[in-house]
Amino acid sequence: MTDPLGEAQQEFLRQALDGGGEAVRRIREFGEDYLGIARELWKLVESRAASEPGVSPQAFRASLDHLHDGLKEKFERLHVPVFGPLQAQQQATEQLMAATLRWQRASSRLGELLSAAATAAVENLVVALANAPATAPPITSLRQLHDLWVDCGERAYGEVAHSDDFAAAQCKLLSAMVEMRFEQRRVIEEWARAFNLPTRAEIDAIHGRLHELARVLREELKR
Amino acid sequence: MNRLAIDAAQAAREIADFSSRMAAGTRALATLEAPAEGCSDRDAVYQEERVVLYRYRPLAPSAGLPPLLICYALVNRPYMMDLQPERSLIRGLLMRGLDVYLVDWGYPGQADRFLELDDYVNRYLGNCIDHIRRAIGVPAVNLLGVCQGGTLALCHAALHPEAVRNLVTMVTPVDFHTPENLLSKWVRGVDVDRMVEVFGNIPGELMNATFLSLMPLRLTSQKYAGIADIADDPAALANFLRMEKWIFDSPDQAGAAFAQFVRWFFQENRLVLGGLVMGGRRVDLRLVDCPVLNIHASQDHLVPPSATLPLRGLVGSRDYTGFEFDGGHIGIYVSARAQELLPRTIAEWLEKR
Repeated sequence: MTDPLGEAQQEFLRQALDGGGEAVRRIREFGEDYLGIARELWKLVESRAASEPGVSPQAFRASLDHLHDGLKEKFERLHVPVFGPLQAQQQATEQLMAATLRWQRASSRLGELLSAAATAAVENLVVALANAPATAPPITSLRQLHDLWVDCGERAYGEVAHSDDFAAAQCKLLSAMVEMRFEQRRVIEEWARAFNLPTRAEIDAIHGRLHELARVLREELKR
Repeated sequence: MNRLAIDAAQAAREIADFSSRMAAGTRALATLEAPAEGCSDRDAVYQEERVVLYRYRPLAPSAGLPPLLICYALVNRPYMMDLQPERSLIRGLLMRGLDVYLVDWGYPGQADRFLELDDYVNRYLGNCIDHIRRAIGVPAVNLLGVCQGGTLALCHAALHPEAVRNLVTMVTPVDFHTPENLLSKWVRGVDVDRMVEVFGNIPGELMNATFLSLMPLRLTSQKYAGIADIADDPAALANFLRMEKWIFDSPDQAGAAFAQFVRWFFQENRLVLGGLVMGGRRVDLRLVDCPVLNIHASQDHLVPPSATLPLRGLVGSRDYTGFEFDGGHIGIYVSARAQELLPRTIAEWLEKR
């Protein structure tokens, strides 16, 4: 007599042990890549800590950017089909990672716009200092320079902040943050359920019912 | 022409001096007591859930006017109206013999996430007004709405015109789609229902971060550098501390009410374009037929004049007065000029009606 479930389990184990199977291979690759990045990062930190010659701040920054890009790529490649008894948890974890990635991207986009504002602020400051009209009073203290910088910065930021691009980027970042939080909460609530702890979703449902009951009661009392 | 004329030795002295003044200012701040929430004597006269109605004790003989109820915004605490004796709009009104009440919305908890604007505008505010009408024996009260509280007061006056004798609005947004309104521009595309679904109540910290990002350099850098200027002035440091406490004392926003406010006002501009319904009834500003005094601040970065001035053409009242205060959104509460000007303007306007 055949046992389909037992056969499927044996097939999965065989593939896992053999290192075969598309899903298993991709998980293994991801793990190796991830560990590789961690190793690289650790080496970088070690070399930085020891102030090894040849590691300039620019090179350090470039290396970090490289690691960041690598990590992003690895996350992007993690589209393993869910399988096995923990598939719900695997799916939740993948969705959380994907949401984190979207948040990172949205964060980068807003960062680009803020960076553009900072560049414009510096240009404003240069103009305010070097190409000022003859009637402009001289800047004789660092405090005056700071105040001028704030004026120039706010003017540059204001222009960027009023743009449609900025509003769209900020909106996207907020949306990504909301979705990331949603996924985080889903994972946490799954754990809470496993330990028979009350979850926010359950308490919200109770509050919603209470609110509605209170409204009905008030209307009844008015009559 | 190059304006930069900083002498290196002088710059070094300036840095040393600034550092020592900042240190002195920080030390002096550490010796100050935590600021109180308001300075005038008052009594809680009505409470419903987290909402408390206060009545202030008189400071002068009664001017014989109907009681004045202050309806503050949901996004900050109302003690800004009574920050300290010499910076208190409430005190200024009491000194002119007005009978002043204030509705304090409290700090919404997670159990309040389903509160709607209907609860705030019709139920809480309505019950506070009804309490005053019964307690004092008057058919209607004078209503003073401040900032977002002005928008809520306008809605209430449109829905319950019989309960409002005179309406004063201060730095109140009405038209949310004017080009200068940066906040409105930012939230126009936000899926606020999803946001509330995930956050529940909207954290006060998120609101603070949004307000700071309107003028980030001025509000996060320049302001604190100013501590060096007041390091040896305990009174100025105490003022600074009070303002800091107020600015960051931001209650979480009840989720459903927040979503409705953002969608109906910021995104759909219903107060101007129509279609605003609360508690099953249409809010039509043309039904606001009581006298209206609309006070705005000429340099307001949160509620630009363009957002509040259209009120004149929207209300049904034939007795409309506009008043411009030369200052910003915060200065209108706490500047020395405001203390002299605003209570007098409000009291004299009310006395004539």
